[in-house]
Amino acid sequence: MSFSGPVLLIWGPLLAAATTLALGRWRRVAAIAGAALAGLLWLRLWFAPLDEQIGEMLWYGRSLTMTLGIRSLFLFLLAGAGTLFLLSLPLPQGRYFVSAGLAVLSPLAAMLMIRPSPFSALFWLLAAAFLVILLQSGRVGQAEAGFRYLTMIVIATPLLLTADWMLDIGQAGLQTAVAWLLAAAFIILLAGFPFHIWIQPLVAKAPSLAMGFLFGLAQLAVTLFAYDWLIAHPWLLEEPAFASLLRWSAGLAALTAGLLALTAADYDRLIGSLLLLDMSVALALLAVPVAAGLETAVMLPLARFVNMLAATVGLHWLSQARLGVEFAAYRGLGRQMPVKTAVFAFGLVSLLGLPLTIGFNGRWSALAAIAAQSPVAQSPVAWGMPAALLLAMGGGIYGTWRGLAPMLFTVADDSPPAKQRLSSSLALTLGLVGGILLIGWPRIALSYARHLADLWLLAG
Amino acid sequence: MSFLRGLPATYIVLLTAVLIVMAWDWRLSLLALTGQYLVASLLFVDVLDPRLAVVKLLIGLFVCLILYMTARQVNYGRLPTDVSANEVAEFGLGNRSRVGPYRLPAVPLRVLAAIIVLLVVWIVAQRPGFGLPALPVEAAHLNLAVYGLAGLGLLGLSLTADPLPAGLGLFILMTGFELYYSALEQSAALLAALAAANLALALAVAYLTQARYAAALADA
Repeated sequence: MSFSGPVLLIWGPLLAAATTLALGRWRRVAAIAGAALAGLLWLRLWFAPLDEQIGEMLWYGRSLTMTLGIRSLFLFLLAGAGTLFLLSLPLPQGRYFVSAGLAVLSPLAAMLMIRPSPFSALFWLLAAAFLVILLQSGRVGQAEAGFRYLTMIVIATPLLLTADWMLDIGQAGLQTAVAWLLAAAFIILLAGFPFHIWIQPLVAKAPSLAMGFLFGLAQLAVTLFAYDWLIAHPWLLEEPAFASLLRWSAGLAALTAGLLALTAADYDRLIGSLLLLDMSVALALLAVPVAAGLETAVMLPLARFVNMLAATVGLHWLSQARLGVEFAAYRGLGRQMPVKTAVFAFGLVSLLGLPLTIGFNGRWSALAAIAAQSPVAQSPVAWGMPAALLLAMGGGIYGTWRGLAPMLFTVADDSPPAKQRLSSSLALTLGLVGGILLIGWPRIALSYARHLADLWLLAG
Repeated sequence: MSFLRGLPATYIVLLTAVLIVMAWDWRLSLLALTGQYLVASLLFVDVLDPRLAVVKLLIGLFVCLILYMTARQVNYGRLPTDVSANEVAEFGLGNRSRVGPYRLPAVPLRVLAAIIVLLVVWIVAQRPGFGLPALPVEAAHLNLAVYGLAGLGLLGLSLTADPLPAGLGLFILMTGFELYYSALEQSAALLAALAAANLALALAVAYLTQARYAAALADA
């Protein structure tokens, strides 16, 4: 029987999700089963025959085609998802985390494989519905964060569908309208200003591992989805309205993030502001020519996956020794829980993109690419974008200092921390080793980003 | 039912949307949403094959059923067992909306907002430069319907953070968009995909509503 990549990536995760949903009553069993099933899918995909197109599937007369790029992407997504499911053993995320996480992969795959593209937007909407379940993960009480995210995706979907129709009919006079619609859709999907309002509530309310799933794995797929449009329609970047809207939105989002970081008084707000800054850099990269920007655009969510895990999981661990997430409540915790504080601090600093962190490579490359596209010879105002990003990073640095200083440089006067469970120690050790590997050998992530970008350009 | 086609259907659909936005009782809102789907199917017939328009209606009815079952399940709209109506009145926690430092009566505020949106939509829909492309010339009333549903849907979304009533705003918005998009694309595959998207949205809204109110149920 010939291998069919689309069948594997669409039905495999759905069947795995159904299996783990049936096991949902036994959380640990479901997590191990989820990781095992993700691993099985990974192995099947790894040993797939490597032709230029790995299988095609017809759906209502439309073809779903798995390219080498999609294969490479899903090798990473499945590995990442499996890792998160294993991490959910010491860090319970909620009843539906594993099953929703597996279910999301199916419409994400369909979104990237299907041609023509009106269905891509609808498959992304399906994926968003599963992501909302993953973000809520059976927790009771507040549901505002998940609903706000869902609202944004619902608003973006009609823009994508209408733009696709206008491109289909091919009238030259509609190019500006298409540019406006697509710019607005990408701004919403990548949390540009003023549609960034869903970031902070999610960081405050959603489970820690779900943050890595959404802002690392899912956002990587969304980024490549956006680049599919740019590769298919290269004239978009020459349309002044398109690039201008993206730059303005990214610049304002970055400045907002910098201000939020400057004024943050708790760690949720600080993480949310640094995340928003990272997302604004990714949005600004969309205005850079594809050949120059794609590799860096892939690198950003890869680094963000590790950074968000370190920051949110670190904060989760630290918050078990303190009430609330305000800076003042964590005074002196660095001396009492040095390793967990190091993980958390690493996550923050790497999210900020400072040197000697995994976040540095992507951030520096992005700033260089954005600055190269903003020559002062064209217009002095063109330097506004890189300046805004640097200013925002300055705000982020100050906010991070304000957040970490009480933790690291003051002495607490209360009781020693609780003993650590073995499973938490193992997860911590694995995370630290992984983080050190990625810092010490950034080529691991860089070479994968370059490989994925090359495959994506080849398929386009 | 043919006497309802055209502008009468548009006016009824907009009326139901206003009812959904301003209703103080979820049962009234869901009834209005059901009526909206019923009458909107007459508008869909203007741009789609009638057999496909029936599919739109069926999906809409399924959405209403999902939301109704969810609301009944979480005892939506009823006070928690440990809170009395007198306490609600004493603390002024009744049906009021916060606007800056003020707490204004919710229903009049919603009516006012709906009237403003309708006025804006009416003016915009009449202007020649704001006609939606690809709509049939003989179905000019669809312009008003699409703008009205989109505007009122966004209003419904913005007036509350509660998943169920805000979710109704989402479905109003989706109906407005689908009405327009059906004029652009009439393929069965796209219809199926939009139907699946609507059902997925309904499940997501139902799930969030359950998550939002499950704590109160557990305490009871």
